[in-house]
Amino acid sequence: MAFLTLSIKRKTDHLNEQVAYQVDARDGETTLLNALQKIQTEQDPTLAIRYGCRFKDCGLCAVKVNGKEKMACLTKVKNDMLVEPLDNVPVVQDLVVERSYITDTIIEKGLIPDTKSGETTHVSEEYKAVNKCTDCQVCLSASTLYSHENRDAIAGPMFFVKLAQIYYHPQLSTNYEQKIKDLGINHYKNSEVIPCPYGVPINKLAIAPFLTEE
Amino acid sequence: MEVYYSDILCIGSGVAGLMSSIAAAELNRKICIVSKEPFSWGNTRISGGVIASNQGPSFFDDILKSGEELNSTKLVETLLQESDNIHDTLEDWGHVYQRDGKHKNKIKPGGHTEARTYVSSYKGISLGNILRMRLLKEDNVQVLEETAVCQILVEGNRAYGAMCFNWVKNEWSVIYASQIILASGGGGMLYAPHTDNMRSSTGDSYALALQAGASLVDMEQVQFIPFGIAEPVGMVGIEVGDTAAAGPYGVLTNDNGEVFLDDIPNQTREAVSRKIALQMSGGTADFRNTVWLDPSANTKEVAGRKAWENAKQAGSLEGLKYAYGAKSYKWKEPFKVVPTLHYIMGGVIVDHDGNTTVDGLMAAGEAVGGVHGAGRMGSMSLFEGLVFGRLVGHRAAEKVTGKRDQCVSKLVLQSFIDNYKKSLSNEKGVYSPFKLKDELSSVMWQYAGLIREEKGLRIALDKVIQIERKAQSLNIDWCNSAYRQVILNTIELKSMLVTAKSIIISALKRTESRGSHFRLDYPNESTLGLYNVRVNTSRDEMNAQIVYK
Repeated sequence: MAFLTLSIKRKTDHLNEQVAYQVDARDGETTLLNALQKIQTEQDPTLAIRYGCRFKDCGLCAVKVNGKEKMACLTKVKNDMLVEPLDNVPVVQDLVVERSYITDTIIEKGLIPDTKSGETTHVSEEYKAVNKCTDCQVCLSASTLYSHENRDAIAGPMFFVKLAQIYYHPQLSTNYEQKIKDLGINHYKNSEVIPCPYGVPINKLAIAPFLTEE
Repeated sequence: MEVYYSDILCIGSGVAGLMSSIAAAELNRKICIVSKEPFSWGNTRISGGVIASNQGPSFFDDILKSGEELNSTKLVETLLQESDNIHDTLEDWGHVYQRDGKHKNKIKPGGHTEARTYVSSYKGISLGNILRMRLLKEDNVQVLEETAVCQILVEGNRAYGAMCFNWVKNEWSVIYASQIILASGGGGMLYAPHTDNMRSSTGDSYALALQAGASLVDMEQVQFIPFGIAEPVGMVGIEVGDTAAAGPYGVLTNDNGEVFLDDIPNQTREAVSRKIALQMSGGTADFRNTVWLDPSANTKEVAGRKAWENAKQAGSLEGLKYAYGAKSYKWKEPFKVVPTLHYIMGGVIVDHDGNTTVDGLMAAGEAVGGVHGAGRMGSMSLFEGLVFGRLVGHRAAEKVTGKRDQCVSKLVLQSFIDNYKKSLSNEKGVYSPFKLKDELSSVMWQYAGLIREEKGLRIALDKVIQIERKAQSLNIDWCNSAYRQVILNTIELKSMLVTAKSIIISALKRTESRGSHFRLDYPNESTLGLYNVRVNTSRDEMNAQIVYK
């Protein structure tokens, strides 16, 4: 058996520290998600992790690996990895961060398409691109401009993408101008490039089109 | 403990749950929708987003042919009758289909004799998002996320509420409702890792229905689609696709490179999966051989290259790239495949309005049995979820009565919760629900999966009972919040054990091979006529019985 070591940032009501685990896998042999599952099943059932589909589609298993945001299912496990929860979103336990505020934000900011009825004839590439968003929260964690506490005033990139899903909809009928203000997108005027594991060009399609002169 | 009141409680936020909640909300009913994962994170979201439409005279016959006539014809008729405008409605809500100018693209997934299936603009996620947003537009909706329903509260065959556990908040609750819609999907995790389902698919619908006093039908009919990824270990079971994913020129080969199956897209999921399984087992009940899908001949033909383009657009090739590399991704070299649990055709018995035999308890979607019989065609599950979701939502809204049927004091509710906890694990022990889930799913894969026989099914039943015993002494601390996921997985383990038993006793009862159910000791269809296998629970005893059609 070949072992590799993973360090996991743990946080529970009784614990707040990095814990090292040995996993019986070789470098690159399996996914990081699978290694985390193994630790939960075989070593410590109280290690909290979040996942759904095990490969790419659901967006639930985002974590930080050696300081960078990754989907655990799309990352091959390597020795000495440091695994931490996402930044900028409250930690529920260990690697699990909160999500239910997403539903609240959609309602509060009115990020709900209101489209003209009838059949669509042309679907733009931009519309297809922004629909790849899985709500994985990587963009929120990676952005230096986002803060969970201030999210009422400035909502964060993931929600700009939701506005873009409305904006690029082939049968757009919503007045999105007010929503741009409500989301505080102008705050992101000079934002660094925001990463997306699903390839949504956030700066180009979900920020730039909404910037206004002040 | 939190207590909520609603006209309608909807359990599950996949296609059927969302659709029924929208339908009921449109009729001005108060809805409480409960989701075990984040709101709208079910199999709908990770599906391919392909949806059948009621077109062509052969639709009814195709459904019954794939179902080998175990289907409830009443439910199939209802499905077709109630499907009017379903796609127009979705488009009005902003759902976008792939199209070629004026026309929506149509494809022909496994089982259909004509192209009648539409393709969502960006897989299931686009459908999941549109339905999520549409429901959030309604005012009278309460969303309880990350909350597992543990028990349906029933008094004298009348369902009046549900006991729940929010695993993120680590908090127990009770929801009272006049009508309860069970839409919590299937149970792929019973065969993990050999499944393409979400982690949350733990058979909750079936276990809750039995616990409430409703019945199940044909639980032995569980569908493995033929092509799942076989390695590496973390990716086993991830979907490559159904029969169409072989392309018209793809062939299946054994370890020696000998072809044992071709013309794959023209066969049903059931037929191809069974042939793969028999190849893997060499005609016995144990898997010992590897099966390879060799799609390379497609690259030399126009129709084959088009099939690759379609697969690429559907996003189903990316798993191949990650697991096997660029050559397999480009269909230039063979890769290992293994059938993977995709859908449970069996399920809760309902009438054509979605009523179970328990007053106030309804069901829709994969929870329900009987629509697909012994085999489901591609693109039918979203179609069914949309159509029956809407119908059941309307019917539930009509049935809501003004008066509150039941109200129990908080003290009594607390005693329900305490008793429930004891029923899950009555002594502090050493076992982990994560490990017991793995133990259970490997028993199901080995003895109650693609190839079954009496001896193996009896072993499976014994082993399930052993796991049930171990599950009575778990390492669980109800008062320590660090155990929140241990508690969630304990609740799920219970659902999985109940569902596993219902599958095994149904598989024992069906002494023939039909559709997804293959018995090595009864390899042919019965000559005594068509029958369904019905599962009931009485006095904590689960029984399966045969009901001739």
